[in-house]
Amino acid sequence: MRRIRLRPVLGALRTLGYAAGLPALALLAWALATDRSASLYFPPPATIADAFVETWFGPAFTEDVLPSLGRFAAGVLLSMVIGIVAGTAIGTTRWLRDLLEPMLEFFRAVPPVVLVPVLMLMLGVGDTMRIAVIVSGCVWPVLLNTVEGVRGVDTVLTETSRSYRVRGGLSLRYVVLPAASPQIMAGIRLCLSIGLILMVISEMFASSSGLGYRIVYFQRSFMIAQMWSGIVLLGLVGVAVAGLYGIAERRVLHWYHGMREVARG
Amino acid sequence: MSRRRRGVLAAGAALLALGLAACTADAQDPPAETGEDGNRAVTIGALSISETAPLWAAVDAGVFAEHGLDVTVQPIQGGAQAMPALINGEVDLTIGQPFGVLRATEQGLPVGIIAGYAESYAEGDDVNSVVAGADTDITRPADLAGAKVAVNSLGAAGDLTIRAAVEQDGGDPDAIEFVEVAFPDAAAQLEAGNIDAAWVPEPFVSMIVGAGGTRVVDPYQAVIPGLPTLVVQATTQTVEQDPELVAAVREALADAFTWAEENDDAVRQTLVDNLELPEEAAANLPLPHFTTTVDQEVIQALADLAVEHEYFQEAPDVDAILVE
Repeated sequence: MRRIRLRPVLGALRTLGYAAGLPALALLAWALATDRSASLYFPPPATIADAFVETWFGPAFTEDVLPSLGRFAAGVLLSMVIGIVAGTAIGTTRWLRDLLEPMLEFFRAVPPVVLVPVLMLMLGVGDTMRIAVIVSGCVWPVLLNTVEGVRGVDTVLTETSRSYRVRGGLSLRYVVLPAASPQIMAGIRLCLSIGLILMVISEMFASSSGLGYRIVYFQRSFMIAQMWSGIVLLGLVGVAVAGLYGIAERRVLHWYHGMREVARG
Repeated sequence: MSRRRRGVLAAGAALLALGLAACTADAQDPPAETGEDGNRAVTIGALSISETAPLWAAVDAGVFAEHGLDVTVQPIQGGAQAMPALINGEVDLTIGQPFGVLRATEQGLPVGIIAGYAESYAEGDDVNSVVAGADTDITRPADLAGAKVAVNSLGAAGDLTIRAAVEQDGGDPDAIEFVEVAFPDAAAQLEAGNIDAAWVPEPFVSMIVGAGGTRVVDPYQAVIPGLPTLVVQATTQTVEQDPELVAAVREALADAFTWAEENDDAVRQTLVDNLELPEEAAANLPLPHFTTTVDQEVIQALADLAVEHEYFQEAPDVDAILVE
């Protein structure tokens, strides 16, 4: 009886150990490496932890963190909407694809960072510019993956549904998009990580708030522990975003994972 | 002092520095090197801006060599980026803003000011100014309250003195909306109407005023007349262990500035060579006042202002920062 109850507890402990083990080791290594050193640029983790609490649990949360997350969310959501809508249109329409594909490759290859000065002139120095920077980089993985996903839908599937007179919006909603969703989700995953990077970069130009601005400000003001704490916060935001993505992916693609498990036997 | 004797002295100083370096286990100490002519090798980190012109020119003309110094001018990206290089000993000295030194010491970095370099003008047109766009109604400092004002980097002497100037004029400094815009981008942003005013140095002041902009206030002059724009910085380690170097650099730099005043053409030629300025622009560019002296009261006033406007939590010890 006892053993049976213990097993899930042990299992959970093991999962936790695996998840937290490496970070804990890295933290320990960092602490040991910085223990005796007086280096101003590499403070020990305890100092960074103090700075973390002091810096981010206060007005900076509403002044810098929330605006940053807002821009990130707006940029990423906009990229997803544009990417999926345009991608579906391009993927299902042959002539549109032939017309646009070379140009899309061209625009995809332009690094968003070099667009910042241009966007600053066109859209001003506010949030619109920053969201545009995020979209200009994030939209491509979603768009191109949607095009590929929609185009690659199994012909047996489309023809079968057509013979049952499932057409137009209905076919899009119940056949094409679900079939393309594994690839679309892979694009979204890329979009999220690119979005986080561009959020930081966009805040380094013409800014006065945001995580990216604050980290550069700390670096310039020689507030090194605070700078590290900002970097740690960015990492944590990344982990949180990946976690949210994981939940969403399991919901959207549960049929797909189930299918693959069956296929694997 | 004969040339030979100076060489011997310099070599002696270098040896002493080497000995001290060997005594301290700290690997961060910059090793003193002597060049082939027996001169002490010194690396000075300096921004690639027009203010560096007299340094480039005087090094080329051999003014520093006369003082037993073999100077290499190392281009740096910005004051904050130069600080690690200074502390690691990659450069022996840096030329940067005095506010950066105050900020660094406030954060516990061991640096000090060993000499002045350039200062703003106490009267007449200053070296930098807040200029408003042509289609704004901003004419005086108080009008900047509620306006979008660009500075090249926030949390430094620029926005601090602008805040103080607005307050002096009866405006609310907290109502200024600051944004960071690089100096070369400011004119285009003003023209596009994305910002209302910008704090810029020459030649951008003339450019913007020429395009219909209004010179609102010269914030340095209005708040702390004669505020140094650049000073020579060294680590406290260098100051304590190598007073000969500090003294030699001061003397050489003072000579360099005297020489530069008499050789304006050579100074302006370095602007063409190093910054690729057109010759006409180089000839007409207003330069600041170059001097090695630093007025302690002025630096103290800057520190007090920073505390008053809550840029610093506690007042920096200006006496300790200014090396005797």
